[in-house]
This record gives sequence, C-alpha cells and structure tokens, in this order.
Amino acid sequence: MSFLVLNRGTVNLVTRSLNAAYGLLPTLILITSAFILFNAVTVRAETSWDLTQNSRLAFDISSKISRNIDTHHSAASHVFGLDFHKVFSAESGDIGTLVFQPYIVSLNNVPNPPFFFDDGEDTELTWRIANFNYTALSEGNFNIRFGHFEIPFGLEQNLDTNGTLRQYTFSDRGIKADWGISFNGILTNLDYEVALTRGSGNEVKSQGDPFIFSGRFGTPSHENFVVGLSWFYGDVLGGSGITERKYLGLDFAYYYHNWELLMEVSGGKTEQVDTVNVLMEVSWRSAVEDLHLYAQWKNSQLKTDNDWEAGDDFIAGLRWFQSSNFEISTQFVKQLDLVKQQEKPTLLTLQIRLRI
Amino acid sequence: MKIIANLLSLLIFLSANMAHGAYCSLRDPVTAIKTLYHNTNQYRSIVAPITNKNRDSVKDLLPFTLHRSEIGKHTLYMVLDNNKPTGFVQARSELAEWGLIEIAWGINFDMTINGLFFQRCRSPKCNQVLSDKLNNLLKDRSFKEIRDMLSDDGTKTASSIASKFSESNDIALLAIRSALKTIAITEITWKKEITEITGIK
Repeated sequence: MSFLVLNRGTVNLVTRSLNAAYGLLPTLILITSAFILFNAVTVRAETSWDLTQNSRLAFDISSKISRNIDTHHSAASHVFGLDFHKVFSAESGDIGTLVFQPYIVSLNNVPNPPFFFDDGEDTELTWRIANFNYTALSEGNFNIRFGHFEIPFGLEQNLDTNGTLRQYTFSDRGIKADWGISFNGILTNLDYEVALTRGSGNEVKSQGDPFIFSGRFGTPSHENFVVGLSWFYGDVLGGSGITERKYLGLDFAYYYHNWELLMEVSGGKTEQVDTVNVLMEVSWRSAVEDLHLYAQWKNSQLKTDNDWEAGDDFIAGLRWFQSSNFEISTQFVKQLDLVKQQEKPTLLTLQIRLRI
Repeated sequence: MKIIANLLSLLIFLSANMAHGAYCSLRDPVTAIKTLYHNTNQYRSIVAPITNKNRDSVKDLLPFTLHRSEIGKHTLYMVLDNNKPTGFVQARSELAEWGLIEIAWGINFDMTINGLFFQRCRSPKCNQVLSDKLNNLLKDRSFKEIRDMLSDDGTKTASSIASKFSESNDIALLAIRSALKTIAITEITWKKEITEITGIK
C-alpha cells in the first residue's frame, strides 16, 4: 500500500502534534482524510477530478410556515440550498462519493430556534449532508465516510427525512447530523455504519469536549421487513451546554403494497435519568407515489422518583408531489399528554419545496 | 398575490421536466451487483442524462416507453472482475398497481439479459421462487427474443408465458417490459461508452 512509504517516525510526530493541538477526533479525521487523498492520488492516479463528470446538481428551495394553534403565533423559515453529488471513478472502479449540501436558512419570528442561530430572526449557513464516502477499499463491504452525515441510529439510517416536515426521533437525542468519521458497508445479509462524531451538530465546536459514538447494524434495506439494532453514547452539545446521553435502539420497517409500518423503540439514560422512547408510524402512498399520508404516535417516558412519567404526541401529515421536483407538505402536531410538565405547542405547518 | 401566483407558475413550469430526489438518498445497488455477478462487487459508475429524445427513441422500438419522471440523470454500473469489465447493471422503476417496483438488471456485453434482482417490491409475490423463474426465463435472452414474449401491443404476456406464471403474471409482465426498456435505453443513452468498453458496435 502506498501509505507505507511514509516514514513511521514522521507519521507519529505529526499525529502527536495534531492530537495535542486539536484533540482526538479532529486528528483522526485529518489523518484519515490525508490517507485517502494520498491513496487516491498515488495508487489511483488515473482518477478523474472533473467535477462535472458523474455528477448531479440541484438547487433546493423551500419555505415553511408554522402556526401555533393555541397562541395564534406564526413563524416561518426559508431555505436555499445546493445539492451536489459526485462519484469519483478510476478505470479500475469507483473510488468514492461526495455529497455536498450547504443550505442558507433564514428564520422569521421563530421561537426557540436551534442553538446555532443567534435568535428567531437570524440567517445562517447550515450543513445538511457534506461528506465523502471512500468506497475503494473493499468493494462496498468496508467504506470510510468523513464529513457531516446523519448519526447512524434507528429509522433515520435508511429513510431520508432531510428537509421534510416528516421526522422520526432525532429530537429525543438532540442531534440529527454531525461532523466526524464512520465505517460503513453492505454485506450479503447486513448493512452497517459505526461512527465517531464531534457531538456539536451543525458547527464543529469543542466547547465542553462533546463526542458521540453511535452505530447501527441492520438487515438489508431492500427487503420488505427490515430490523436494525442501534446504539448512541456520548455528550451532546446543545443550547444549554453538554447533555450526557446513552441509548440502545431497535427499529422495524414493514412494507406491504401501498402501506408502510415503522416502529422504533429506544431506552437508556439522559443525564442519568432513565428514558424510554417509542415511535410508531403508519403511512400510505398512492400507486404513482405522488401522495403520501402518514400518522405517527410518539411516546416518551422518564423515570422520576422511582415512578415513570409518560408523554404522548400525535402527528399527522401529507406530502403531495405536483411533479418530481415540486412538493407541498403539511403536518399537524398535537401533544396528548405532558411529560415533566414540558408543554409543547399544537402546531400546523405548511411547506412548499422546489428542486431545480 | 398575482406576483406570487406567477412566480409559483414559473417554478412549477421550470420543475416539470426534471427528475431528482434528494441526492443523499441515492444508493449504489451493491447487493444487486453481488447477487447478479456472483460476489464480484467491483464497479464503475457511468452517469448520463436520459433525455426526452432518448425517451422518444425507445418509443420507436416499443409500443410503450419510459415514464416522464424517468427523464434525468441515471447511472449505468460497469461491473469489473479483477479489473476487467464483465457486464453492466442498471436499476429501473416500474409502476405496479400498488406502487413502484425497482428492478436491477444485469446486462451482458452483447445486450442480452444476465439476470434480475428485485431492489424494491412491496408485494409478497416478489419472492425467491418468482425471481428464479424470471431469471430462468430471461437469462441470455436478446431484445428480440424478449419482445416475442409479449403481445403485439405490449400489454399482455404471450399465452405460453402467462401459463407459466399464473398468479404472478402481472409482475412477470412488468419485468418483461422493464427488461425491454432497459436494453433499449442502455443502448441509446450509453452507446458511446458501451462501444468503447466492449469494442462491439
């Protein structure tokens, strides 16, 4: 292998210096990136670096308006993003895939915005997915991904919910996507991804030294019954600082004709408090898949003073695709029971989205 | 309000002929390639646009053609064995009465079918037995031989095929139509690349 030609002493010195300066995770990412780049440039010198070849590009524009039914308060967010996908290939095969999705998000009158916004009127550059998955090592069995990607946990791993009203359980863990490195692959009867990430979400922040070690092993996603086992362990950076979170999760998906049944159960601790979360969803798509109707039930349980307190949410929504690039979605969220007196608003949300 | 309505109309018009999903959800058919080419999983992606003109060219060859939503960029996978090209794989979506069926097709250099793999079929009928039957029926068959498995208007399977598949005849019909469209669109869209790779004109 080409990387062996590097002097071991030099590598050790560089690694130690980077580790001291930036910490373990950024160092790991930097070293892996350097290895992949070096390997791609030397061993696979015939690689095409033409960004227009084997690539796809789209602009993603959407606007979302939410109405709090209880307080009659309205909030909006407007999004303009780039969606770029490129496969790097050599004569001897594919080397890896780059997905690059920077999005400008502008908030208007939003109460409690995500912590990386200054306030509810802020505009920020956000990252949905921005990573390179190096696939040339073992013919798809063992790939290395680095950059910004979805935390591999539960249903989110196989089902794309980026930019949609319909979401699953990432709010239970306080983070959806993160900067870091993962090992992933598709074996004959197993899909897997194991990740070590910064724990800070949109931005690479080291405040409080957050980190997340997560992963999911699942049966093949092309089948009609899919089961996955996930874990999530780490310190997650949020608006109020670091939150320690440890969970184990089990997810199921079952498909039958137009119907889709999803379930995710996770249990663990949030700041030493025992927590159990359950999501169930039933959904229906029209035959041409231009209409998708769904209903979700979410249950959260916290153990307080040797007693379990439960909260429930009901969510119903629809997505209608006028064409494959223009869609209108709407969603209704209603809290049925409160947990720990955490009252959530009853929300009606409308979103239009265009990809050109 | 009129400005907003006009703007919306323009956006809808601009989007009408484009076919994209969010690109982070694109997945290579790794399992399909492994299954179709017996654990050979080295491949090279060749992305090319399928245009309205390509769609019309398929219509010249068949009494049916690709759906409008299939216009856009698609990937042909060239499969390699020990760095030598050994065949192609392409995934196509077909519309069943309950939703889309996605089939990954293995294609030989002479544009005969190597095999099929159900990447997504939300019917219990799409089991291994049906997959094996369809593979036996279509393996190494040419465009012309597969075309003869359908009625003249392409809406029914020939009676000899219908009797073999009985209850699964609807899926067999979809698979046969898909095989024909796949061979046609592959030859039309990736003609230059295929000629370079195979040396067959």
